Amino acid sequence: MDKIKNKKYDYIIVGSGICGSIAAYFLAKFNKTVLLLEAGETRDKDRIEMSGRYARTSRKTPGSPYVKENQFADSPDFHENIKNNNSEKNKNFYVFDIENNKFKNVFKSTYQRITGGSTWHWLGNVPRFIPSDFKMNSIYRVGKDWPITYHDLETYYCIAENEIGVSGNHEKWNKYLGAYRSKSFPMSEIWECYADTLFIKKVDGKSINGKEIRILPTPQARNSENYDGRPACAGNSSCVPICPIQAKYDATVHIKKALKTGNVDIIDNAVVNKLIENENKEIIALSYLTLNNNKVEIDTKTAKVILAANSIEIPRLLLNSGIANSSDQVGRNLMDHAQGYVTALTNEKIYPFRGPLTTSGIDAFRDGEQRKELSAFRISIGNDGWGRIKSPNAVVRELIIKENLLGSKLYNAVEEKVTRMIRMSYSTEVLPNKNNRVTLSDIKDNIGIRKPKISFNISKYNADAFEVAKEVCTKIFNEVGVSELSTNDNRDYSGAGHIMGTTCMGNDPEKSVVNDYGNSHDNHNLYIIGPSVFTTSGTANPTLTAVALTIRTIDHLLNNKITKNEV
Amino acid sequence: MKYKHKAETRSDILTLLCEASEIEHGLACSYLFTAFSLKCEVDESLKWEQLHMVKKWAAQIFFVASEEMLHLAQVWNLLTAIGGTPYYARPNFPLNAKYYHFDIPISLNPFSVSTMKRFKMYELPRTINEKDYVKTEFGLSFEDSYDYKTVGDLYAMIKEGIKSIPEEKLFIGDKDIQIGSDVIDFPDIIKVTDRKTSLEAIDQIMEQGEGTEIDEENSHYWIFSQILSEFEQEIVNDNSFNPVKNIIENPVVFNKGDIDINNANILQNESAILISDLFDDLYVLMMQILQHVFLTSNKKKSRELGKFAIHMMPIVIKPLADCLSKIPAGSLYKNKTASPSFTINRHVQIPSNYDIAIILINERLAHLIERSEFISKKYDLPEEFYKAIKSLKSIKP
Repeated sequence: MDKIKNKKYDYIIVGSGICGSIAAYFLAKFNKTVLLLEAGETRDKDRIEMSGRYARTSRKTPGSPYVKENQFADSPDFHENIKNNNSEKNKNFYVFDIENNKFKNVFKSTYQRITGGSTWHWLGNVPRFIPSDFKMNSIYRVGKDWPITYHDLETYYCIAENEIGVSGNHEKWNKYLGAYRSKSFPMSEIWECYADTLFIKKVDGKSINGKEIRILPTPQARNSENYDGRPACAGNSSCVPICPIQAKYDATVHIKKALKTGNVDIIDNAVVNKLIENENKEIIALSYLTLNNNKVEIDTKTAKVILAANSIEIPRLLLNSGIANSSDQVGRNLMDHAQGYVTALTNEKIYPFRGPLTTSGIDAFRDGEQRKELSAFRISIGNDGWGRIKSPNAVVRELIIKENLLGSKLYNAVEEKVTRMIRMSYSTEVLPNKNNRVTLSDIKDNIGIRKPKISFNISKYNADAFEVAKEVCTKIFNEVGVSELSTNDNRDYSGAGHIMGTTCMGNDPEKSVVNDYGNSHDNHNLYIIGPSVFTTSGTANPTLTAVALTIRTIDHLLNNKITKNEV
Repeated sequence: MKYKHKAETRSDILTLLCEASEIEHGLACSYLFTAFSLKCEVDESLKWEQLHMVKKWAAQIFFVASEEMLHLAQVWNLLTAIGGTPYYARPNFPLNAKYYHFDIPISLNPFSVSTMKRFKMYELPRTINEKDYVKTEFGLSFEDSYDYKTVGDLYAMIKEGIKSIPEEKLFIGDKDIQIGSDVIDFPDIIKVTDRKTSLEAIDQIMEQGEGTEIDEENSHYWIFSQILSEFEQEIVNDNSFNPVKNIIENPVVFNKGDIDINNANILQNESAILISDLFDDLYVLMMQILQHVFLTSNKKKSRELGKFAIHMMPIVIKPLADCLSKIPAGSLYKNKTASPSFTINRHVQIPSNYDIAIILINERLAHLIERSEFISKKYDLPEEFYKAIKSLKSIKP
């Protein structure tokens, strides 16, 4: 430890999630020395044990495989699963500001603190943003424009898809919604699940609410064949919260690659709690807390510091340090994809739970003039019954308790119902809003760091889109042929786990935290990578765009060595 | 082709492609048999971690088998592109050791160290010296042959043959009968219409099998190497580790005369014989339907037939194999249970005319369902049998 502490690194990266680990890998590949600091623990060898924990637990949440005694770095995922948590003070990981909130939920998205980050339990869907997502204000007069365009990012999208291993259909996606692709996906698409074939047969090509419906295979960071030494998806159907065979990409892939270069050191269980700057606004040191609550300080005078924690922990650290916030924008513009669902029973059996949790989606509503008035949305077709809304276990329980079924009658009823359960979920774009924000609470967490206080409200822009999305899903279901249609309460919505914004990029130092390369406007040796720099949230799952932006930043720091060598 | 070592005419290439079809088909069956032999339930005396590892191996071997089926389909596209027809015949298991020039015959064996070494041999990259591999792993000497020693060598010969014949002369097949992923559920299948696409198709087969210099860790050879090394490590960790069902190897329903009877195990239990025979006939019907799909230009109807045939694999063929593994093989085999023989019984090729084809298929299917009902009435069988038959009745070609 002392050896590492006294060593001089070119880069110090805070956070070993997908962006931090890929940044470390590329920097190390091109002979830069890197120290990677991770708040969570390294648990690569526990993959099967953690899969077992998930199988055994009755409380199945994204965090349930990762629960362990005496968790050091607290997280919303961990917090959801701890028992005997009766204290009002500790009821939630987040402290919520619920004043004026019309919705039942304030902010429900969570994250995991573990080496490899939340990619352990992400779904792995990786559609790209579309060109109009970067120009919301110019085109639709809502939101903001990014300081970059789709074109600026296209090459990096290709590198990102190659690095994490994306399965997709180039022909179907190339130029769709204006998003051209200069390279094919590295793997052909994950073949559609059986339910998708029914949707394709009954709905594909039809017009609903003025849009041509196309059932498209969702690009996925999941192997359709052996790739990068990892196996093809074997249909374990537990992508969220854990893939037992690592057919789904997670960031431990790049941590291993980075360590293999010999240029990277990693310290886990290291919760960075403060950055220190000098009068020249140079980050000269950072401090972190260790398992024994010891405080360690690292000299960063000769290094560049890259923050890759996530969109909650980055503003939390910056606010706690009083750094990089001359714009007063740190923590503001917190975004997510506000989601809802429609569930039904298909008239014919569709046999869910074979393969990934979703393999196709409907992307037609991700763009169009309606974005002036209401949010765009992306629809995903589930392959997991009613998903988190009602598990097969809950169906069995209900049939026993409410309908008094047992024996062969129960068996037949379960077979009849579970094989026909289907859901469609819609994800709407939350626009940047300065009042949706992360600040610091006076309440401290288990290791004495001020908790994140969240203010978040859903606007009419999203609420109106919920109505339209429900209407579209209902029409599609009626074409497919279903019964028992059901949807969520109008005042309810769920988070997508797509936490974005809070240190947004922009050209104006008075209105943004970083420039288009993630470089702090205030501190020249401070960089931020990950979805916290997003200007707007679009409707695509954010990870691929976050990785593409990360590679663009690192390429800039390496004088374009990545594009010269990888393209 | 046994008299020369390079392909110079259309007929030479057609012969080699038929040989490639036999091998791809035979390897797919051999891999499936081994995957079926792995334990897959929590009550089969494996620890949780071990069960997960074994299920991963099974999934990996099933995946390789599916790519062999893709290769077979790809070879059928190559055959029809140069004026041939799809070819599904192959010698029955267990083969005579000298049938192909591998020295290590294709056979049906449960999962074991030697089975995995044999699989590696079939997929051996041409950068590894086959003489050394065979001597080191099997203690066998290696005879030189006129033509090829690995699957990679065979495809290299086909490739050279295609390059040696003028393109306009060689590619005379009807382009409309080429099958793409719009018709059959193989996302990577390539339509073959000229020299370029034919070489792409062969390169894809070779890369998936033996890999390339930059992508060798994703090849079949590498997959089998990984499984073998994990297996050997787990045996060291736990000497009671046994991931394999107690099934017989190289099962046959009766001595057909063309097999290596010294290495065959003839089933004795009557119910196992009847189910194994039913399994074989359903499997052959599946192959016949697929062959028809590659012969016809009626894409809409062939798509439905292709889907039907491919659906038979997970919902009929696999449950029947699982069922066999729970039925005693016969008194000669002590406590061992049965397993599928993948025997191909003599039958006609289904013609390209859809109207005639559908009559043949429906008649055959009705007879097989009738036979399955007879079996289900006569014996008390594992639930997998009833599931398979229920599924068979629920799908229509």
